[in-house]
Amino acid sequence: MSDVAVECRGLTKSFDVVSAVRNLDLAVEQGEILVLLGPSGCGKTTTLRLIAGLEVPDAGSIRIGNQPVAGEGVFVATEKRRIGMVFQDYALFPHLSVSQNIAFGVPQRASETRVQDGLRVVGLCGVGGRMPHELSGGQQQRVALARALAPHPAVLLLDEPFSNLDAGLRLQVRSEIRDILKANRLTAIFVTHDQDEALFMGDRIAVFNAGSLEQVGTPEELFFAPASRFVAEFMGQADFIRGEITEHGLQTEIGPVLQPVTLAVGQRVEVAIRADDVSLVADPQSKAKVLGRSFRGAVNVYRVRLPSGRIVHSLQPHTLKLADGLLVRVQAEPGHPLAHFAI
Amino acid sequence: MRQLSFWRVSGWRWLLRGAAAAVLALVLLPLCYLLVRASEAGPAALQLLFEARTLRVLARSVALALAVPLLSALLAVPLAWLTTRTDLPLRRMWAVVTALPLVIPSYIFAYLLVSVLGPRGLLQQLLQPLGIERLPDIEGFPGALLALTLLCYPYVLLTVRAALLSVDPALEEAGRSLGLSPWRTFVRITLPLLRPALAGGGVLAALYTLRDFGAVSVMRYGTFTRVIYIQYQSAFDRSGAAVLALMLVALTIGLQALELNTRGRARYHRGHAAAKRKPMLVHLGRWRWPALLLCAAVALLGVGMPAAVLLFWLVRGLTLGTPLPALWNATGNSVYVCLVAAPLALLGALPLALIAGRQRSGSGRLVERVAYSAFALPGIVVGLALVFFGARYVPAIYQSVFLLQAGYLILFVPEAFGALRAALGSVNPSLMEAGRTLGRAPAQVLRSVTLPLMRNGVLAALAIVFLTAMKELPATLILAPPGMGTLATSIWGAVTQAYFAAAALPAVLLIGISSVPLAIFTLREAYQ
Repeated sequence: MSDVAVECRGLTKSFDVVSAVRNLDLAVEQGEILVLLGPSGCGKTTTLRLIAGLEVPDAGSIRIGNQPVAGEGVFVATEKRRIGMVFQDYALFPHLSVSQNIAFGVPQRASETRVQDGLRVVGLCGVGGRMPHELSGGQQQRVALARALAPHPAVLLLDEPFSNLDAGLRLQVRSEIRDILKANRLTAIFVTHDQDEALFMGDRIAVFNAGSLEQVGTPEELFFAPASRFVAEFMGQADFIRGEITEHGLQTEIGPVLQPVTLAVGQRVEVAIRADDVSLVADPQSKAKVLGRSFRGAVNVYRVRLPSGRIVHSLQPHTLKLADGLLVRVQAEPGHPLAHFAI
Repeated sequence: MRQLSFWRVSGWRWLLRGAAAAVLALVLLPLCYLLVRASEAGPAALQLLFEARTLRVLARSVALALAVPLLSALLAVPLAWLTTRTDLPLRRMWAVVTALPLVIPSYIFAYLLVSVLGPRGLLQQLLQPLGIERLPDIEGFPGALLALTLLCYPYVLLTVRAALLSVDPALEEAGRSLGLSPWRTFVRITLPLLRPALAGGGVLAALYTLRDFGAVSVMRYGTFTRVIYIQYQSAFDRSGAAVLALMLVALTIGLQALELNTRGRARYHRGHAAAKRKPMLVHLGRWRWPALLLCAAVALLGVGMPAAVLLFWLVRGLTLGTPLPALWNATGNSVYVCLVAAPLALLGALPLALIAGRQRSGSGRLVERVAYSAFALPGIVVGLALVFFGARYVPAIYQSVFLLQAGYLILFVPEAFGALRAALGSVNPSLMEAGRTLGRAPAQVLRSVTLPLMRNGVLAALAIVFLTAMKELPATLILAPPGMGTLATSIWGAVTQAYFAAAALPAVLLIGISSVPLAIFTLREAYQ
């Protein structure tokens, strides 16, 4: 038995002339939640559908468990792949009751117990007799999960499952579903375009850009050590300032940052910096200027223009008030290495 | 094991493709055969193409196919607006009544019109005491135009009504908020939004006109269908009829292609279907009297007059005595033939609809194009081609009911396809995919998910094919085995001999029986 639940090698798929997925390598560990994250049209949903067998790859191979399911002259039909799938629009059968929906993928003799188990797991005991349209959005979502889990799939595929829920419900449902997945040690591949959701759901995250993988790693790795500017930007709230590698480390336009560097001395770089890494001190000699403040309750976020014209944000306690137009000294105090990219 | 599952999937796919290819081949057979037949005539066929006689037929057909949609639109737009956007009294009733002419076959409608408005028709008899001995002749272009407009305007009316109902009221409200008067809002915002619907409905009306055989024949207006039939009956050289039939098909398929293109663009107003809010109704005030007059006049001409006249002839026919056994026989034949034809057409259309549903694939788009284009095949053309083909290559089924059934299959597969395609389109594709991910094979998903969800669409398709098959005349005239009369052919026989009273009872039976499935279906849907 291998520990790899799903493995894709050299996976490629185009529609008409547009290439959706290009030469993709990806592995999911047993019991892991892997999130496929990226902007719309980046190929993450196509990857999921290739794994599900709903699309046929142009090239490359897919294995589920030890079994090759696509490529190498093999194509196993969706229904033989032992996958469970939760669709963006839930895809509950409107002509079947909740129980019948959950029992759909289960052999007749086991269906009674599986339906009861399924309803219990998702906390919906007693609604088995209802029709899907009689349920709320959150309940439909959970029925879709119970239905996908009932046949005991080897891997669960979730395609933007929370995008049809409103914001408050989304937070609640996603933590419920993560608990269910973890409690049952399920392997899951989860597609989303929401980085916040990805950080919350994923054991690991695979960031897609234009049909290829940018980076695969834990949420912390992606957040603190993005491998590319695209990842740093997509993971959110980063400003980019200019800098250069010197003998002493990283020299930026807001001062030096002491940290190990790998690039050659003299290399010009862009440094990703987040609002919590930036401190401000009023200083009439400085050429950086406060442009505005946005009040976020406990904290204030200031927008500051650097002499180079670049904008950075700075997170400050709500007790610190700086007037618009005030000249300030801007310093980087990250407490961790800053991600930087050669330009 | 792996290989096995692979073959099972493609086995299903090939079965579907094979069935679809067989149906498409049958549907395209008449066209191919006519091409062969016309090419056999060689240069003579080309010569015939440019004869003055042929060009006159072409001119007459085109003139009628332009005039009918135009006049239909002039009737349909005000009716659609009045019944959707105003406080017109009895709005719902007018909406139903003005759509009713759809169930009347054109030859019945035209004969009723002639029997009233003809030179010595019922109207003239009413006016006799006033010294009017003869009314102006309505046969020819005016009669054909009047009959076909009253039969076709419901197509435009229904599409325009649907479009008006789906237009997001916010667009019109935006127009008003930008300072346009209600009338200018209609002209500058609503009317442009209706353009795709008008084009679609107009093309439907033009197609109906070009394909129609009954009305132009009763009105003795020599368009393609009538001239083809006369040539078929009289001439020894049948390639002349084949050439004319090909010209007609070129016209109708060209039109159909036009319609497919407008349909593509028509999507933008359906995008607003999510808007559930109802538009504000326009208060008609004193204008409601002329509005009511318009609705009443259209309803009177399109429904009231034919119903009353039919009743008149029915009573006269019954008092004169009609040979009933022959009629029961014809009724039985009609019902039997159509009860076979409807499910057969549905079965033939199902693989096409399933393949066309896979829009992403090239074959899906191709099937969709071909099936929709086949809708443009006129009944007279299909009948003619099959009779030539049967006589020459399959004498075993020539002059048998099988040839008639083959003709119906060719004519009604496209119609059933349209209904099934719409039903399939309303089934969310991820439901089928969900079925697959839950371990069911494609055929099982079709049975347990797709077909149950399409049930209403399937029933509607059955009802519509049954109705159209009952009304069908030209192919039935040519293909029905000798001695096998149907309601349509008995009506036709009586009408061509101007024996109006004898046509009334079969006409009532035809309209009544053919509408039963549709009525049941409509009531069922309203009940649900």
